[in-house]
Amino acid sequence: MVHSDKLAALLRLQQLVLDSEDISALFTTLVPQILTEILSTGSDYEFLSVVFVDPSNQLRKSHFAEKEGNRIEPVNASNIFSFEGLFQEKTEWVNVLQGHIAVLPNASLIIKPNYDRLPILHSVTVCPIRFVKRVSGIMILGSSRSPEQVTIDELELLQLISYLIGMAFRLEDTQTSITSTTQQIYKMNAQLHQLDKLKDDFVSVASHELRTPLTAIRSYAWMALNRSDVIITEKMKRYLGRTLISTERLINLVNDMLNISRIESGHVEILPQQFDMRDLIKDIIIEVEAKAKERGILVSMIDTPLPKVFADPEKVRQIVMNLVGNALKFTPPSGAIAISFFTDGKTVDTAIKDSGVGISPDDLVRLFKKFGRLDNSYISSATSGGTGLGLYICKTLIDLLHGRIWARSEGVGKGSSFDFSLPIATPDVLANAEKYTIKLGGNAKVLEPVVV
Amino acid sequence: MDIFALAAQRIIKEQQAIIGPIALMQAQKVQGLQVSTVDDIKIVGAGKDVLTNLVNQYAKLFGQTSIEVCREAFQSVSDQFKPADIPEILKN
Repeated sequence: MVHSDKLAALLRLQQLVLDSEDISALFTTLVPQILTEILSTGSDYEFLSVVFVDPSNQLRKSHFAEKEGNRIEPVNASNIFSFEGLFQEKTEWVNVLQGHIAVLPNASLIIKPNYDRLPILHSVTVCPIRFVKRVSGIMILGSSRSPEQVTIDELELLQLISYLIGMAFRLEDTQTSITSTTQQIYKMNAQLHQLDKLKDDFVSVASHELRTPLTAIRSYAWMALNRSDVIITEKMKRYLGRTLISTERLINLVNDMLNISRIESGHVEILPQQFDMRDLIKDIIIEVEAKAKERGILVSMIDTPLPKVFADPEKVRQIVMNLVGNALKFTPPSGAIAISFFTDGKTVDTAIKDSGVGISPDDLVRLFKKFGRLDNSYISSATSGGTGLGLYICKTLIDLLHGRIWARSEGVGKGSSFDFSLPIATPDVLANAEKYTIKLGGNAKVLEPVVV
Repeated sequence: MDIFALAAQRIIKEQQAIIGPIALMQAQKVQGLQVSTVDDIKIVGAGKDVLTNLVNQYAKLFGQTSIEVCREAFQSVSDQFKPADIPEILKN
């Protein structure tokens, strides 16, 4: 039966373990506190030590606290114990190894002769500390009392304290494992991040290097096709036409890869301002008019009163050019593209609706992923010049603008609508302009323009 | 944004790239650092100490590699700092 004062001491020690913020340093404070609590119950001991060993019984670590008048002092235990003898199967230790407390009369068995208190020690109490079904350490208490004077009550308390130490050790061991695993995972993640940066740099450099010769090929192919002094056959015109389209596609791909690399590596600035979406759309319609006419497609804007949005106009332009470009690519001649707006007082939604080839419901979810072009519903990339990266870029940019983008279609052959929303320049939004801004100073890079 | 807040932002962003949202959660525990989002960071008190605490907060959990990551992130703004204002832990 544990007396109330001993129970209170035990609970205080338990609380110390549970409240410990830094588990790795737990035993530094716990061991002196255990000795303090044991002494407070009236038992007299000169020192207390807690020694842990690894599964091969090699010393793992030890803590030692000594009574110094009214104070308890932590001491380096390495000069006090003969650890070599500790876990040898000598007769005296059999009980300990089997998990029982041993009160030994001969302190010099494990204490070095140079320990100044050795002459006054008349008993050493050794209590096993169990961890995962084996003895993983011992608690040693030296006393000037003889073994007969150590009471059963005391031994009961020591047994309970040894359970607490075992629990604390387990806690520390778990914490150490978690910390070690966390740090290893962090290190691996940091290496992956580094590799990702290297990949971005490679894509950036390779794209630049590719674009220069590609631009030359495109120019010469165009000149051969349109400005040649020599009459070329229809067959040759077809070949040159294919060369031109393929080269343009490669240039678009390189530009898109460069843009993605710049966005993903955080080199794109977002400098929002208030502007009217209708003005931007009108500009873009003028810009794509020639191409639309060439394809026999009517592009129009449904004008409705609108509040101003708060966004980076250059990035919005990039998004709209991508979406209108797609609509032009995937709408057959004599089709139509209508741009309309909707507002709910918080955002302005812009819808770019075409009468093109449409998208099946299953494919709608894939659209905004990298290389998410849908070959079964869209005409082949070889003729469209599409890269499969445009919508991914739109989605990434719209995320940076705190907007949303989505696609709608009734199905294949029924046209499609690409919609995006942007925040309205409300006083609340303007007051938090910093939240919508990404300034990079000298590190900013400009996006490659979208060519329709 | 003052240079200490800017440095803190660079460090948090770099940590975010490696450990995701935990980076922000850990930054929010640092005394003297007011973080609501990574774009909204304020420093209350001595900037040098707050930066040191931020680096230590990551180091406590993620070890030496996280200090190297903080140093690398700090490089992008280090030229704006007087040598005396650079925390010891961020010096290479």
